[in-house]
Order: sequence, then structure tokens, then C-alpha cells
Amino acid sequence: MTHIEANGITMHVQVLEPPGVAARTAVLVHGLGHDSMASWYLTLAHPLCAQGVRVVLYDLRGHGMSEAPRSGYRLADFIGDLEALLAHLDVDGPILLLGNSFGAMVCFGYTAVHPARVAGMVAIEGGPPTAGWIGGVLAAMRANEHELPGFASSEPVSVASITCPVLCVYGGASPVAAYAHTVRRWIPQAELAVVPDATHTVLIDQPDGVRALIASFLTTLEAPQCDA
Amino acid sequence: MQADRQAILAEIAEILGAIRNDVNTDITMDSMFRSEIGLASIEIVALAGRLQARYGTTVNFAQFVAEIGLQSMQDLRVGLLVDYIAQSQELATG
Repeated sequence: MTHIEANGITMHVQVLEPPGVAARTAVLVHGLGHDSMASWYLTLAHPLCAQGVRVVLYDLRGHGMSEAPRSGYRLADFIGDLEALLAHLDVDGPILLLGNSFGAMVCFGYTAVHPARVAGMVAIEGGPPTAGWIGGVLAAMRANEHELPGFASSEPVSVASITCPVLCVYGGASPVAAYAHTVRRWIPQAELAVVPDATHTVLIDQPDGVRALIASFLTTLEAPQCDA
Repeated sequence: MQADRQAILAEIAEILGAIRNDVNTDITMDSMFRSEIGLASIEIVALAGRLQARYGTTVNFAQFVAEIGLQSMQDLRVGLLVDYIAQSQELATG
């Protein structure tokens, strides 16, 4: 599979099927700017698949090889894309969501809206869609001269509904790590992990360290009751 | 059974042309995906996806790129991918 129509746009999608029956489905969501599904595909996609997980990767709207509409870049649009993607793929069991940077915010947003559909979540160098974290994304976009038309009008999403296990990974040398503690203000059960000396690009720079943290986290999740 | 490496090379060249319509270089075994053909990371992923659709479970492209590593991806030659596909096919067919 390469391209699908969902939520009114053409999305570039890759699905990696593990040998045998998949224990779960994991959806991997990348960050902003020049990022794409490649950052996941080239690092953690295969290791997850080798653990018996069906891995779904996609390019966010306006990124990689997905369509870039002129407008429609509010957080709600990104959450809607993920929802439409899962519907297109007929994924209805509790899933694993893994987000890198801005992708983490999309994952938190989706989980807040559909808490029963997420078995566990991993956020790398990102935070929940609170007013503060949305402001942080806007500041980062300004600093990098990157624009998502309409994103500034994104509404914060209440994350009180998120009760699933959450792992948050930060780079010890990343400016984002300074705000890591605020995640537990909103999501008390979140487990925080710091990769020493790593920067915001910890997923790319230290994939082995991130992989080990995620593998350990996945062992703490309850076994799925049915195929995802 | 011996796989036909030239046929695999031709398929890769055809897929590259579909992914990037400005690929006008003659693709050879020695062509380098990044520095010569100019593929971005996402285009390498797209290539892997199309090859996976073509070859199915016989060839595990995600494993191939994961084992190469990000750094080595910079120097990835077309011939290395051709060899991987051919060897996977030869293993599958005995």
C-alpha cells in the first residue's frame, strides 16, 4: 500500500505486517517540517514488527508524500486524519500510538478523544495539546520559519480522559526536556525517561536507546484480548 | 534457483521513475541512491513500499533498511539492494 484517500486528502501510508498473527497494531506518527514517516521507518518500524506488532506509518498532511492542502492544519485536522486512516484500515482494536515531536501531540490528542481505542502511548520529545505545549509548537515553528496554515487557531484538548499507560522520552540535552515534568501535571501516570546527552532528534541519533525504552514499556502493557 | 539480477535492476529503475519523474540518470548496480540518484529518505521508504508490494513476504525491506542503519544509508548502492532481493528470492526458492 502506498496512497489512500482519507479525510479528504491523499495520504502516503505503509503497513508492515509481522510474521504470523499480529498481537497489536501500532501507529507511528512523525514530526513537523522536513520530517516524514522515514524517521520511524528507518529506526523502529522493523524492530516493532519483529516483536509481532503490525506497524502502520503515514506521512502527515503537508509532509513527505502525502497531500499538502492549502489550509486545514489545525490540530483537530491531524487528529481527524488519524481517525480516518484507522477507519480506512479497519483497525478497531486498542492500538499502540507512538509519536515523535509534533506527532506526540497528535497522539495525545487522538488518545484524549478516543481513550478506549488506545492501549498505550509513547511520546518522544513532545507533549499533550495543552495551551502551553501548543504555544511551544508555535514558537518552534516560528524559530524554524515553518508554517502550518491555521495551526495557530488550534484549540487545546482536555487530556483528563487519558488513562492508558504513557511513556514519554526526552533527550537530556534537548530544550524540550525542561518541560517534561509538566506532562505529569496533566497525565499523572506518565512514565518519564531521559536519554542522556541526546537532543531533540533523539529518535534519529540514538535509536537503540529509544528502542530499548519502548521495548521495556511494551512488556508492561496488558496482553491484547483480541487481534487489533 | 539463481535470481535474475538484471531483471531486478530493471524493476528498481522502473519504480524509481514512478516515484521521481526527474530520475533521468541511467541506473546501474553502482548508482548510489542518495548522492547520485538524489533520493530523499522518504523516497527510499516509498521505494521499499513499492518493492514490498511487488515481492510480498519473500523480501523484508524494513529489515533491510533497519540493518543497514541510517549512516550507511548515505552510501547505499543500488547493487546492494539488488543483491538483497536476489538472495532473499534464492533462499525462498531453495
